Amino acid sequence: MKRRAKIALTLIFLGFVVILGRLVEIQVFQHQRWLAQAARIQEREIINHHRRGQILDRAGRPLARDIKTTSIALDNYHMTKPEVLRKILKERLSLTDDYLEERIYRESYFTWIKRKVVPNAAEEIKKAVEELEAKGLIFVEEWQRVYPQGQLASNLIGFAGLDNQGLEGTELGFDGLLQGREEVIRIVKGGDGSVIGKQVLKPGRPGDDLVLTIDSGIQLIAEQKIMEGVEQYQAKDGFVIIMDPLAGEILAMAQAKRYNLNRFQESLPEERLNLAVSYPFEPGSAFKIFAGLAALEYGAISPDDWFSGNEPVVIAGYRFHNAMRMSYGAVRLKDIIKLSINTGMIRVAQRLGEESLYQFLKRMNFGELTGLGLPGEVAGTLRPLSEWSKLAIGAIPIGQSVSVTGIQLITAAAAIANGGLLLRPQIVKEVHREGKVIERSKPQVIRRIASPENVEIMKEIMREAVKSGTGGPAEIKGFAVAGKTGTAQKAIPGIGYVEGKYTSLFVGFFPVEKPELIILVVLDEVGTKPFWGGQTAGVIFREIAERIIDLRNLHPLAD
Amino acid sequence: MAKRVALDERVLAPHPALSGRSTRSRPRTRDRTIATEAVRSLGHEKEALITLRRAIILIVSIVITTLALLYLWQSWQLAHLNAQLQVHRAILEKLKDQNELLQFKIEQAFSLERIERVAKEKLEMVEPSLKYLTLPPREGKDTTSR
Repeated sequence: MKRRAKIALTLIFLGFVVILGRLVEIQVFQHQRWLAQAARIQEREIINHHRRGQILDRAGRPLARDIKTTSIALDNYHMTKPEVLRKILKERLSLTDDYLEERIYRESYFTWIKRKVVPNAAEEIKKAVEELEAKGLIFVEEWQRVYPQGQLASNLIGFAGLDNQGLEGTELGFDGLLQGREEVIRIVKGGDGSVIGKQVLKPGRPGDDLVLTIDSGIQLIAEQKIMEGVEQYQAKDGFVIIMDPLAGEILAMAQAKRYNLNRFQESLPEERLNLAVSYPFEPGSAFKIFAGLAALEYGAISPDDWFSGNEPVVIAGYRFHNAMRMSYGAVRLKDIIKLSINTGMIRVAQRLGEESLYQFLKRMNFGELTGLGLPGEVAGTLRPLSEWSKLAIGAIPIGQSVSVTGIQLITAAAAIANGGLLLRPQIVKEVHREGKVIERSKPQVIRRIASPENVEIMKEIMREAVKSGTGGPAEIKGFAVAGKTGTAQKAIPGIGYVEGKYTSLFVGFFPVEKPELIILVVLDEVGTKPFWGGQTAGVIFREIAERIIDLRNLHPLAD
Repeated sequence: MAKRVALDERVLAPHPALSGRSTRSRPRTRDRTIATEAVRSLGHEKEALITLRRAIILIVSIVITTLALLYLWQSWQLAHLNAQLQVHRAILEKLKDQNELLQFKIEQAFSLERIERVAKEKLEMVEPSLKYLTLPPREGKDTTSR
């Protein structure tokens, strides 16, 4: 008995020795091999795409955000019951037979069926294929960019593509901030497939949130009024920019043509343009305020100097006329701007001289990008002095032979409104990262463009232009509007100035003593008569301003 | 036989210290004595199984085994709870996603253009128009109020 026990014990011991030996072999000598095999089965590295940052208006109202969706793909080699799959996909995703036929019978391990399906629909499909035991569908979670306000500020916000990269507008211009950083994670799965461990290999983070300077309420008013105005004046197009002249912040950037950001694929390229930064135009008489200020600043004239307002002015054999060929006799700078007298302004500019005029316009940053950060911005045209023709001194002071963008024009006019400081226009008010403000915009002064005294004179003149000049339709009782009209004949390349095609505009601010808002309204090719800037764009200016006054509950002052 | 007895003696002989006497002096009653002693010694052997040393070893073994089992149970519990945590996290993520979708739908429903459309078309509201009332100056202030 004892012997048997000894034998049994010995055998058990030997058995343990064998097991121990095997364990040593596995754990010590083949450690790396088995570790690698276990890792292959249990561990996976996955890339976590973080969401894009939100775009919000200045009040925190979301203009663009990400939601989770499910994209559906097919493993063609491992699918079963293709006809069942086809039926389910056709019913649930409203896809055509031809489309599904082509996708299902491809030779591929991965074929997209539909990207970014609403999660509920994807869940239903998942359940249906499980019930019918059809295999092969792959469900991939993806972020989708959505725009709660639909068409509002579409040309400014732009959109992000299927792979969440910015393609237009703010989405493109600030893509670097909005894009989140990818995160690489190693997950460990248990025997039942559940995740039992997680390790971050490369940390990522969601994109930064952008708080724009845009006020959605003002933006909506501007969009509605410019759409109504374009229709009323049968214009080809039109846009509005509204800015806080003391901070350089853009409050609205609206245009008549816009599109639904949630269905951007259906829009036309011309609808997607942001005219405020990408459409250069001749500013016409609105440019007189800059030429006039230049003459004052360089001391070429004084406000009390008299000039002939009679026409024409002949330069190098070319005749410059006043609107409707009217002669005004002796006039001062105030009258020239108030009544928009071309010949008077040309005579002022002749006294100023080409070089001073050019230097001043450069100081106003004409012919240069504003640095707003939006894609598609053009610099406009201000030729170097060496390329000026003999006619330039007649054409440029009245806004011909020079082109500007809306953002340039309003930025320069804002410098007059705020007392002489040229500010960099801004569209981003704050940048938030993971709930904290990491950047806050401040007014960025580029330079002083003129002395406060001369700027004050120009503001008074602009006030007169609205009170008793061409800008009359823009007047709002109690709010001391100052502004300047512009009606520029359009030049067609290769043809020259064309009769009947005008850019009509009005730029104005209020109240003149301490301006809260500056508004630029531009109409392209007004089809009705009169087509003058004051009687078209000026009216739209007033309508917009009145609505904003009501929205902001601004109180009138004695005027 | 002598050989057998010798063998038995060797095997069954109690320890001199335990018996306290010599077996050589009484050879006739040797077999019985040996058997009796063997039984006695067996009794002594039985008592030896629960010595203090063995009891300690036993207790330590039980404690180690219990701790090992506890450790295994804890590991299993940890894995189980981890799995449950992952499931709950996944549910939480889904709920968050659903919440965001609903949030988007709310924002769409409360978009400025929709509110205005509803106000104008369903509630027949109209846009405000500015009206001014000029009041005489008050307390030296030259102001006009709406």
